[in-house]
Amino acid sequence: MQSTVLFVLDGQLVRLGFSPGGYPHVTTTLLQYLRSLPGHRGVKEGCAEGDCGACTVVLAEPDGDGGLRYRAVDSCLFFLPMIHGKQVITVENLRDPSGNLHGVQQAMVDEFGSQCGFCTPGVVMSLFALHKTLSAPKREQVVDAIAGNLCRCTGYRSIIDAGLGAVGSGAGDQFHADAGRIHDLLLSIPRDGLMIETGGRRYSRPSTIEEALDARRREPDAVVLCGATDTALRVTKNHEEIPSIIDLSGIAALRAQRRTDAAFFFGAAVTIQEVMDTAEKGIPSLAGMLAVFGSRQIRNIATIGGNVGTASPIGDTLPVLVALGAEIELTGSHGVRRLPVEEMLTGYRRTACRSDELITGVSIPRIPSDITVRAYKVSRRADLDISTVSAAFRVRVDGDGTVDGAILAFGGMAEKVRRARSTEEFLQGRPWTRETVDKAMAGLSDEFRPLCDVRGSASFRAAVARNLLLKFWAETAGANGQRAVASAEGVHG
Amino acid sequence: MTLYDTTMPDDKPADGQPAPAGLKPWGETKVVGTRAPRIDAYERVSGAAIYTQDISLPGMLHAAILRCPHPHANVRRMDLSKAKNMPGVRAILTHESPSADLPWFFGDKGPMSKLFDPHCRYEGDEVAAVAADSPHRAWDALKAITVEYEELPFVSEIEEAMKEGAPPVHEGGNRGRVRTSERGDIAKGFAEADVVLEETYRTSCELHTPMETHASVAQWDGSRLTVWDSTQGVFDVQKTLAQYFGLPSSSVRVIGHYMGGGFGSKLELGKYTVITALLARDTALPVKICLSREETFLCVGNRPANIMQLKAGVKNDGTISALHLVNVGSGGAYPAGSGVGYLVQDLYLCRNVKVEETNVFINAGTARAMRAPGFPQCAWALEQMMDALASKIGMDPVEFRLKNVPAYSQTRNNTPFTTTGLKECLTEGARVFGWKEAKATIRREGTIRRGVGVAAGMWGWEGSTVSTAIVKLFADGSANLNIGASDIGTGTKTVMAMVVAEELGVPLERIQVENADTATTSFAPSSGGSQTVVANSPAVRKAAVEVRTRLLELAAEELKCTVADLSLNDGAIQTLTAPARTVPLHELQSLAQREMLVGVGHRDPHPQGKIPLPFAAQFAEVEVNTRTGETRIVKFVAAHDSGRMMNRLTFENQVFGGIAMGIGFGTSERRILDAGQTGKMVNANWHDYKIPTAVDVPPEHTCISVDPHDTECNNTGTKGLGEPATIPTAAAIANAIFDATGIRVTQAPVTPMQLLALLAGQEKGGRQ
Ligand SMILES: Cc1cc2nc3c(=O)[nH]c(=O)nc-3n(C[C@H](O)[C@H](O)[C@H](O)COP(=O)(O)OP(=O)(O)OC[C@H]3O[C@@H](n4cnc5c(N)ncnc54)[C@H](O)[C@@H]3O)c2cc1C
Ligand code: FES
Ligand code: FES
Repeated sequence: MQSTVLFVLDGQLVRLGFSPGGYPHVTTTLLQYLRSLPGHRGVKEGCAEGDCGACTVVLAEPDGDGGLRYRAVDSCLFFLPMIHGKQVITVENLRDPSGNLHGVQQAMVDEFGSQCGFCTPGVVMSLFALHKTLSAPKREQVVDAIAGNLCRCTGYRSIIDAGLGAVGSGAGDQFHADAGRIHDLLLSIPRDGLMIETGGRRYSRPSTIEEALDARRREPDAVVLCGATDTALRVTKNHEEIPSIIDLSGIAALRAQRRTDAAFFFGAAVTIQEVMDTAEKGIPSLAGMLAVFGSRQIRNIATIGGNVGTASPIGDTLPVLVALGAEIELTGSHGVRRLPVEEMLTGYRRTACRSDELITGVSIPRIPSDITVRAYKVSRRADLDISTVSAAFRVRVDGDGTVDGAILAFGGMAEKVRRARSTEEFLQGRPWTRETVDKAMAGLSDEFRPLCDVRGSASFRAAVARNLLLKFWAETAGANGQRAVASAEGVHG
Repeated sequence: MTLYDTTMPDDKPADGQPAPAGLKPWGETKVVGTRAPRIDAYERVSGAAIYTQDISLPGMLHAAILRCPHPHANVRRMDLSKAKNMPGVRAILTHESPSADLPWFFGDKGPMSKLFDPHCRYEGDEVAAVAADSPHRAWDALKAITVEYEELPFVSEIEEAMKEGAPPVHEGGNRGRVRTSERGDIAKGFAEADVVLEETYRTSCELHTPMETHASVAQWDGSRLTVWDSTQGVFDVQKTLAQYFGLPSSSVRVIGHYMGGGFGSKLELGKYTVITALLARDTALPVKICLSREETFLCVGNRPANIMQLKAGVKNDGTISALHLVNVGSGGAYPAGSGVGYLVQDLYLCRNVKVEETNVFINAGTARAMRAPGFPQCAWALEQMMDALASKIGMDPVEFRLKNVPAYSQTRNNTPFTTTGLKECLTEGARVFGWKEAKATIRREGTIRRGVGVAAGMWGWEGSTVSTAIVKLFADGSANLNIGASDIGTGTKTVMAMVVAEELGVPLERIQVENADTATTSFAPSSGGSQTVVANSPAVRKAAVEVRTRLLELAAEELKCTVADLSLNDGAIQTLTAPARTVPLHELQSLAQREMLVGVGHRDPHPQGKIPLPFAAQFAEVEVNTRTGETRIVKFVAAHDSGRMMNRLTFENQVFGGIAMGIGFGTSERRILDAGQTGKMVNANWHDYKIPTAVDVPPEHTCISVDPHDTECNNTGTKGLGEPATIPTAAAIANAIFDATGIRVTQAPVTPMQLLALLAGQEKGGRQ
């Protein structure tokens, strides 16, 4: 175990030590740290809570193929030790040594993509990450890349044009030229665990599951985190002191994915974006839902394990995981057990994970082709938003047109993500027709007593829940009750 | 004046002299009107631009403010002992600190409060402030201060606040006096009408939320105060600070180079700036404050919520015979005004108009001017009403508006407008949008229904005419422009440099702009109210023309010809008569000897007997999902008469930005107060207070400049743009939603929740 965080900034290896009473602290965010340096004040703080993208920086990591993978993240939600082993790139790094602007910066100049300019460094970094990944992105891809960058001035049109105009700018840039050196520099950073203790606060970043379980046993009250998007808010927003943290983001095994004929397996620390990329090739209902999960900068940090661990009633992955029949893998000192998602969720932000256990993965079975699964999310703004109401439905319709097996899972309708069991039973064996669905919709209202809050009133939630079911029916059955769509598909409500 | 006054000032047409002969607006231009990128774009995209939040001075302390967590409370007791002894804490201010015992003014209403008022009238009212050696230590110290509050009954809603026995926000009750203005005879007008409609429209409280939160850095040098402020107007901040500290203006320097947006919320001096300056004086160290995002939701202004009852009478031929608006609004806990009436009085021809407006106090953050204060609200009511009237008399909504386009301002004794481009905005906009075809063919049935809508607008203020610019031409042919105006993102520096380039033939790259510093630049009014280009560009042009005139005189002398024989292009003097010669400016001896030519330009008064105002019409196509209540804007066309388009890029950006803000106002943004229980704002963050993202703006988005070649408004032919861009947007969307669904949504914003409930009601009641 070492106590120094190593990362690359301005092309150089930085060794960061922590001392009691000194600066930075273990829960200092990457944003605060960068802004404390003289050369990185271009990184802006707009909210310190993951909502605006002004703080966007790009992290580069070895992609396993000898190259580097670039991703945009909100630096305001990133605890410093989490950058161990990564390259941090800020807006100041994009100019070449003679001061020439990077292609994405030049496109922003040409299109007037900057007004007051306060969002601009973040926007530039989102576009940079996009162009390091895609050579000629389409409009939807540009919009998706900047959906997490709020801009109060431009109306986005000029920014989108800049994103489209910067074609090819990522390919031959200075980062391309320097990638080999950075790659080796990053690989030279030891991968073993970190243990930082300063002024009574403890931050451990184990490198194996065993080390993590040990730490958990020693400190059952420590906060466990994977991506920290939920946990960081407690510090940045509520100014809370968290005495002890166990950070799982450094455990390679938890960042792994596996695919078999029967199922997909995602380690707990796989990011939402990575899950989405895989899901696009095999679990469309999940991919569709994740496409509207937070923003890209959030998806690049937030994890599937964290989403389950938070157990929010509006957690976006949860209804669809329920509908897909996914299981959560829990590892404890006594071994591994698997629980269906429904059993995992025990109450409002409560799970069945014991204090000597960790969530280590999520297993999602492949769905037979005669079963349709779709997921929906309704919120007041299309992106950068968590759901007001979400739903995932699964249905198998027999050759004679009757329902054989239905799962209706809802988020935002109760204290936790829940199935509508009575309505599911009602549907069983009945013809998959508008008439049946109308009756099922009426029944749904009795199954839930949804909350009223900022995001939606109880009656709105109930109405949306009913209508989503209707929408699902309309999309999966023709006017005469025949099944029209065979493939499972994710859609944004 | 406050921008909320119902009737804009009856500015008697110019008492000054007419514009000097010879400085008519340009005919053809070389630089002005092109797509020139911003002159400071490099700094902005490379992270090199230094904003107030980025300023760091040696020894600088960080301030944070403790704010009242209740909507209405008295501070009974405070215990500072723990906070005082925390490491790094250098100073604490409360209402008991003698140095902080200052009155606080709201407009011209006299001292209505104090810097730290122990009677807290809204959540977020200032209770104490700390300066510490790091931001987190300052926040930690705030947490260590214990305050005993006496919680008082509060009121969060306009209707509740007006009731008998409602908890008074101020002594004397919550209801301000009714301000009435009337012309003609509305009773007669309604009697003449063939159709009379009446409807109550409501808009929600909207927040500015600029990207850079409010921030100041204060430093004292003896009795001289320097403040870096994220502000829209350095001179305004300077003047008020000087008053608070009893200093001559000359001892207060305010600098605001780069600033991250304001939209009106940074038009005035904030308490946080005064507090920061006091802490800096007490500690004899520079102090910086950056408000948190949450604070910007609570206590630095908003667009007030309004309840507008509008009654309108129309004849079958499309003549509007009477309009009667009764508006009640709330600018929060202190007087900020919530008037909206202007558009009803001036946008369309109508002889009989009555406007009655009342402002009501509630226990919530005080309003500040927000992009076109009052106008989007009024457009929400008036433009939906116009739509409804048109359909009642069977007239196309565009035709109906065209029939009522005014050529003169009815609020100013029927003084003619210099130009009224409203007609062109409507016809050109409709043509580009494909209005007639869309109206005829759009699909209004099924689950996903489409509809189209139009709304018009104008801005009601010509802007200030007090502005001075200084242009310096150096011997090497490069130039410096010195203006007091803040560039709040609109491209002020760029546009002004283009004016200099136009007149002096100096390339844009060789012009530097010095701006927004009270010590080094000349006076300019605050950048707001769509006046920045209008107020400053004519002064800049005059300064440049003065330099040009002097330069040509010198050149004529040196080259032994007459001024008429010379032209000034691309940084060189050219002779028009033989022998043909081109002398680069740096080779001009007479300039070299003088080292520098200086021109000073003062803005001329507005034209006599004419009113220069901008107009707009916007067109929207929407798609409504009747199962989820979600609305998607698929297409948007905006046509604007803002006089001369100075720069295609700044023009487009203003318009698209204004539309995005209008989309927020119309479809997602509103302050939600927990009226029933705590009275606190429950969505004081960008997660729950939703401003549009890239996903929410229309994929098809066009804007047109309808330039009527206004030769009278001023010497650059410009009218305002920033405000008009956001005025009709929400109403155009609402009209499109009506077209799609037959549902008139009277409450802004149109959330899916609201629309779904209305759709359900419609299903029950049958489609009207
Ligand atoms: C701006 C913003 C937007 C967001 N948008 C969405 C959205 O659209 N949809 C949505 O569902 N959520 C959203 N979220 C919430 C959050 O990002 C997700 O819930 C995310 O998946 C949490 O994962 P994490 O790894 O970042 O969380 P962490 O903070 O690391 O962990 C979250 C919780 O789970 C526990 N936990 C984490 N890992 C484990 C483990 N391996 N074993 C046991 N317990 C564990 C932690 O103790 C903690 O309580 C958003 C958050 C922000 C800030
Ligand atoms: S500062 Fe707003 S997302 Fe990080
Ligand atoms: S340019 Fe001002 S917030 Fe984007």
